[in-house]
Amino acid sequence: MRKISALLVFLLLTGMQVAFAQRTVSGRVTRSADNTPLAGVTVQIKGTTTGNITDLDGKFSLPVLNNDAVLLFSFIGYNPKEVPVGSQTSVIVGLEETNLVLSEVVVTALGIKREAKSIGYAATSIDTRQITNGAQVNVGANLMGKVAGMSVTAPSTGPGGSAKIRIRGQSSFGGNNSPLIVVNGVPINNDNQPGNGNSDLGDGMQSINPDDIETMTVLKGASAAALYGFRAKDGVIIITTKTGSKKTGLGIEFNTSVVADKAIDFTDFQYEYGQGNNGFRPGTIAGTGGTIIPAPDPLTNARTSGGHSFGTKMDGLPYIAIDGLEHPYSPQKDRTAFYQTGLNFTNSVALSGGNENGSFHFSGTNTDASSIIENSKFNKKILDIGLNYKFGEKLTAQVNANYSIEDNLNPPTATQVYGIANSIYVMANTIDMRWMKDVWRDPLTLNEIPTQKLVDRTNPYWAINMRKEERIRNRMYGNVLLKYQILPWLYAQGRLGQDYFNAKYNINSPTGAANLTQPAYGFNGTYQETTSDFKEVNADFMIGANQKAGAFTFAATFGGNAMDQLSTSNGTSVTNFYIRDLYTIGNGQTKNPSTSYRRKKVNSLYGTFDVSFKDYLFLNLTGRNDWFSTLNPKSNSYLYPSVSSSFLFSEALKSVMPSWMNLGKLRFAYAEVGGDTDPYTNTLYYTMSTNNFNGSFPYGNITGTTNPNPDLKPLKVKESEVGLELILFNRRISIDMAAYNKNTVDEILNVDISNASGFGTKKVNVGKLRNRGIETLLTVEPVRTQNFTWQSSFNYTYNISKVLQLAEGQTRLDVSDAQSWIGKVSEEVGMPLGSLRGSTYLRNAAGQIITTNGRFSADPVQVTYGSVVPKHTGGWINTFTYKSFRLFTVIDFKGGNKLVSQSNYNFLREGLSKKSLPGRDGGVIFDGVNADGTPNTTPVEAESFYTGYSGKKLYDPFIFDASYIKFRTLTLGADLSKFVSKTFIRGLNVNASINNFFVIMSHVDNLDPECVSNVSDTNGGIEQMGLPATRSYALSFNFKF
Amino acid sequence: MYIMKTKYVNAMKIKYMLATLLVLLFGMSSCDKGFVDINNNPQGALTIEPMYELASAQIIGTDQHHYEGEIAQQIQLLIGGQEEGGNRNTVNQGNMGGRFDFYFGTQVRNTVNIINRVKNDPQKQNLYNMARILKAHTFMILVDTYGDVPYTEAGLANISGINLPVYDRQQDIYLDLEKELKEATDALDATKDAVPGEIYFSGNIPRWKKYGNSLLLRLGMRYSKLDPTKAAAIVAIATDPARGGVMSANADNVIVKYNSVQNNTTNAFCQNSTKHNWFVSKPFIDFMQANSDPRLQYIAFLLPDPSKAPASSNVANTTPASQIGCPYGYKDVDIASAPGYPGPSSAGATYKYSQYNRSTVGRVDSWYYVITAAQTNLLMAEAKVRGWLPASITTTAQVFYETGVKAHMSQADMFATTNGGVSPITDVQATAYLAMPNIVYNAGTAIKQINEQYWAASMLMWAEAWHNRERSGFPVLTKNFISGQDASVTAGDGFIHRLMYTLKEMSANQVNTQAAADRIGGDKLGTRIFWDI
Repeated sequence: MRKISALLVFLLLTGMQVAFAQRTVSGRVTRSADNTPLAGVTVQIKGTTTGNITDLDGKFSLPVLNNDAVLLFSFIGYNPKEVPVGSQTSVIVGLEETNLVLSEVVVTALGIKREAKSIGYAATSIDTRQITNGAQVNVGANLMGKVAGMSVTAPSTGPGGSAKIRIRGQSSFGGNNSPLIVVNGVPINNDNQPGNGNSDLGDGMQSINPDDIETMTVLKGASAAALYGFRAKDGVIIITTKTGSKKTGLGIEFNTSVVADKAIDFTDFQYEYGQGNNGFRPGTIAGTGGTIIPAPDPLTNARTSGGHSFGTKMDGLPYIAIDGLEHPYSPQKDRTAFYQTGLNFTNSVALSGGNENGSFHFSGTNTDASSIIENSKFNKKILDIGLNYKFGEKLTAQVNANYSIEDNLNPPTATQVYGIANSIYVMANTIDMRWMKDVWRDPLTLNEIPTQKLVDRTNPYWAINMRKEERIRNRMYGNVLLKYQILPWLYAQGRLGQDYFNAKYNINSPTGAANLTQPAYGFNGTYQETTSDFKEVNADFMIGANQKAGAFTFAATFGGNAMDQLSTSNGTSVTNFYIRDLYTIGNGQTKNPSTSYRRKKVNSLYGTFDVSFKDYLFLNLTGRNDWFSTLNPKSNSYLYPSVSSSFLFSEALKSVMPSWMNLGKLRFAYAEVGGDTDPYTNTLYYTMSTNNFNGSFPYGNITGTTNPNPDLKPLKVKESEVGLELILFNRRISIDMAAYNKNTVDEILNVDISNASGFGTKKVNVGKLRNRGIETLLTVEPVRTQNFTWQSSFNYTYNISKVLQLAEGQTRLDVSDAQSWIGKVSEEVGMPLGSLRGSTYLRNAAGQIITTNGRFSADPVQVTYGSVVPKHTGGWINTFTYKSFRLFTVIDFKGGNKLVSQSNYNFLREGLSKKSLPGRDGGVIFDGVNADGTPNTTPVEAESFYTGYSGKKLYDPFIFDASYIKFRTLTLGADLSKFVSKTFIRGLNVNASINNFFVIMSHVDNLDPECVSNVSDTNGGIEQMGLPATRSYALSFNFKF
Repeated sequence: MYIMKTKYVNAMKIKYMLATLLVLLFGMSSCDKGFVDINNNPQGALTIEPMYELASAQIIGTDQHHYEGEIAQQIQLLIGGQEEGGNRNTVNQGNMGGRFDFYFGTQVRNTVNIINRVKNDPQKQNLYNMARILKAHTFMILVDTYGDVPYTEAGLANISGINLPVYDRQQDIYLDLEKELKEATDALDATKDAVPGEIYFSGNIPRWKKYGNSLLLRLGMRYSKLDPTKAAAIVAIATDPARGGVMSANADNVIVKYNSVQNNTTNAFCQNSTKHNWFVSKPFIDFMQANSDPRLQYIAFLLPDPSKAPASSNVANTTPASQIGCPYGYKDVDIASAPGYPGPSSAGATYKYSQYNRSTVGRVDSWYYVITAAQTNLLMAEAKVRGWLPASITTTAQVFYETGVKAHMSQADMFATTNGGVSPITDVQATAYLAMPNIVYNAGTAIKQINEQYWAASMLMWAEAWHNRERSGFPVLTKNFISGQDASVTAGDGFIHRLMYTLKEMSANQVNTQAAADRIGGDKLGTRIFWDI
């Protein structure tokens, strides 16, 4: 409040001006290099506030009092110039471009453009060329390894999947730690949409076509993002899309690309012993040999032992396999043979143009992507339009709109049931799953033919042919901006933005699947249909002013935002059917409707105040106050302040600086920002059951198991940072470093209370955590000649987190969901975020593993194996340009984190991994000691021993160092425009690239080091049954007409 | 003039700015206008009719097969790991907290909430007293299972903010349950409010009185070893015909009528993906076979392929003589060495032991019996033998015994209604059974016979089968000599006597849970409940 009043007083004080006209002087401003007109140049009479702005032809006219008047020309990116009027009535002025280093402009919070040199915090602009030629369907996934301080993971969840982006670590224990995505000044929804069985239905970034992006800026720290208040805790990615340029004439651009995705096989299994159990193998029809599973018949034996490789030594002799045919008992090594080549075709056409008053950019994109699994597809169509127009001298309007239709069909699941990838991975090593291509449905019963005893592991062909999950989303977001230049130093703008989508979702669990329960009558199976809508409206206004007084320049803005968010969903799920294979709501026996409604509003007022001294000392203050509908009205108002400062010592001390110092800048910042809160968490509600009991008895309950807390407040992040930027030797070397300390307080925790209280948890504001780190970007240009340049940039981030406090008396909070059988993620006081916990072997005081009858057991006291959050992230990007050819490489890495691999747990207990080889003949004599300390000498039959890992939650053999180094991308691009210059084509660019090229370093057995298939933070580090990683080959063409 | 004009402009500007400022200040004071309404969920109810909460509490948690059914030796599985528990007498925390969490989270939360809402409402006194009876029933099972549990402070998180309730002494809880059952049953009044939405009897007060009295009878009988005098006194009150009497016929049974929509969760396991692992126990099958029990044909079947549903290619064998019960004391690794092992001859296929018949008692839509006339008649038989019944009750112990056995045989849906066309057990069959040498009523072995029948009649009601065996000592079961069992079980009589507090309770409510554990003699499987001496 006080801050806002101060801002207004400032506005009043700077409002003094002189406006007095005698005669008119007119003129034209050009760029001195090529004499092209410069539009938007501020022309001011020195010492007054009288001024104007040049039009599209660079022309202006201005009233002057007398011949002593001096015209002051200024324009971002150009050196200011003073011209005495004298007796002239017309002046022609050429402006020279300023030193590029000092004039770079960055789009910052709320769309405010600022000179990079004046910014006191870390903000990174992304070269859009680096994200348009990537092979990933999701634009977020293309950011991997490219920005210091930003960690990007693109889990292997099919072409319609999400990208996980974290900036400067993870700011809260659970929930959403994704940065805010702002497109053209208005936030858009970027929630990950989980489907059934951990499938990934995509996120908000999917709706953006990379080719439409004009600029992309990452605001990393809290101070950078402070103007977003409660939404700023995880940084902001600011995207502006194209609105065309004010060139006359029409431009047409056409992009086409094709990407081929191939599964990569990382398995290194044992191929000595084949399918079977306990040293027995499935039989032959003749039933020869004493090592054959004796009963009941060879085919049943083949299908119940399909998940185990504890058979006899492979000998290549024929046996009856899971498909009922004879196959040799020999290795089947290629775990990727089952998968097809995923193909992704993207075509986009863009039309742009402009005249002196405005411009437009219009584009349409179609992406057709098929996954490596049959019948798993993703299609998106995007229409994007950007317009800007100038009505007269002072009023400008800008409109951006993006409409997309995204259709995600059968996204791969990462659970046991319907987890195709899991079923493929765990099949015995003498089986080729393709044998089952036509053997997935019993012709008599029409039910699934299982491939192994554990029928939860679906026959992949049953899944491909029978199961259907689809989400179709229609989305439209965009905004309208009106800006009025009241006076040369004062503008006002208003904006209305909306993000709206409707998603239709349906999924079945088909009748006859082997894992389903037998119904009382009719047919088993489930079907669900859900329609959901999301709408967020943001209305904002801003008044901005700037003034110069001597060596000081002032700028201030004042604005407000009203956010109204509503999400609803409406669906019905049915269980069991009357008519077989008719998946409709009407055919369901039990119908369960579900609805949800969530609405919240946040109103905000904010302001900024910038002051600079002599172009080398800059101070920036911001304040934002948010009012939340979701909080107790007595305490629903929170203020988020920030201060940042930039000092260009290279300019301030220019006289003593060496000539090779192009830029030297120090920056400091401190900010407090917040987190979001959910609606309706402070009230106790009741819910009626959807179906009456036994048809006639309605029943109801208190809703949920979390005891509501009426006094919740949003969490707060307090962050300070210092930074140093150096540009040296004529830009041959650039260094950008930052160190930050980010404390999260008032973290909202669901604290365990006694279940005997009637509730399981209570929501309280008690948690504290800290992220500390440094981020560095070093760019060097070792070669810069007329024809050849080599630019090499290396970014590295070190982030270390610490849980400082949980609820009183609470030392640990489990955050992972109970779904995973193996692996648990907890937050522990005094430890880094994301402790991976589990049981270890029961050991004696000397640390030796205690065995009983030759078997180990699990220590009931669980241990922490390490953090699942990487400490080190970074990338090394090289760009080689030779004439019109460009070679671009990305190597990226993460390190210092652990993962637990559920697949490797299966590989061991089911006899696939090499670790399961010891003891196949004569039993496993485990390296342990008996209770009395003597070495264990008791052999245990191999299968019986390795199966002993089941259900013990004992993770030692399945914990891996998740550090990796990958050669992520290799792109070769060429500008072939000159070869087509004689045709109607104005430009032609070709790019060929390989993504996920190869792994340079990994410590994970049998899997890709990035195998964790989940974007959630609470289940981070738990590998369970994701699709294999893929290598993709992309070819793209860009035509300009 | 120049200066004056400047001043004029400034004055105009100042006025304009002040106006803006005022608008903004005014605007700011209403920056949260309407927010309270927005934060009321239009789809959430701030209150509901308490009768609907009672119905929720009545859809009572079905029995837990990982411990209770195995301690009572009625169901068995051979594998370890996830499913381990009572089959190996080991501690598997994941499988023993279901009763605690579900009962406190649903039954206790609802009944405490109803009692808090209606206790002073003269229009809802029957509802209030039904909630008291149901709450008492819930706590009786909780005490029998865990010993000391939170009682006076339980279920109050949303009412009085008690997040970490203290544990009460089990003896004290029982005393209060006795008072509650008596008071609430007596206070039920057919002339007062109707409670048509309760699912047991649609508000029938005489049947509710029988339910309350039968619970009080069961509670009194729990003292039979600890304090026979007290037991006799409670039984006399419970069975006093002037107070409404106890359950006598199947029409009095308390039943949760599960159906094809809301499935019987105890039975759902018979059909789930690990269905091939669950077997009927050897002691149970042996008891039935030894006495040519007509119930066996409905209870157990043998499938050629136990992992698959019964079908024309997988025809179930229901012949009683063919049934093979799964023994205790073995694991999957050594079951092949068990006497009478039916195969297969290697691990990896499914064992050929009998399973609960998925067309009859194991159906997902079969009813769940909460407390039955069969059980109550058998308790009456024992009370008669012990001489604890009021003189006005002249029925003989033998008649109570035979009525109880026949009541179980004719429990409607179990053996007749939904059995897939098999004819119900006839009176002739029942009578013939009651004439079998070991079954025919014998005053000398009556207590043993009665409680063996109670065990059979509590089939699929495993908690009660377990607790009544602890109370009475019958049937005599062979202890499970399995290797690697929990030390507290080995140190005792080889049986699990209680389940342990949940890990969550030990961490969230540590001080209170630890105090309770110390009081009862340690939070162990072998620790006995106070009446179990």
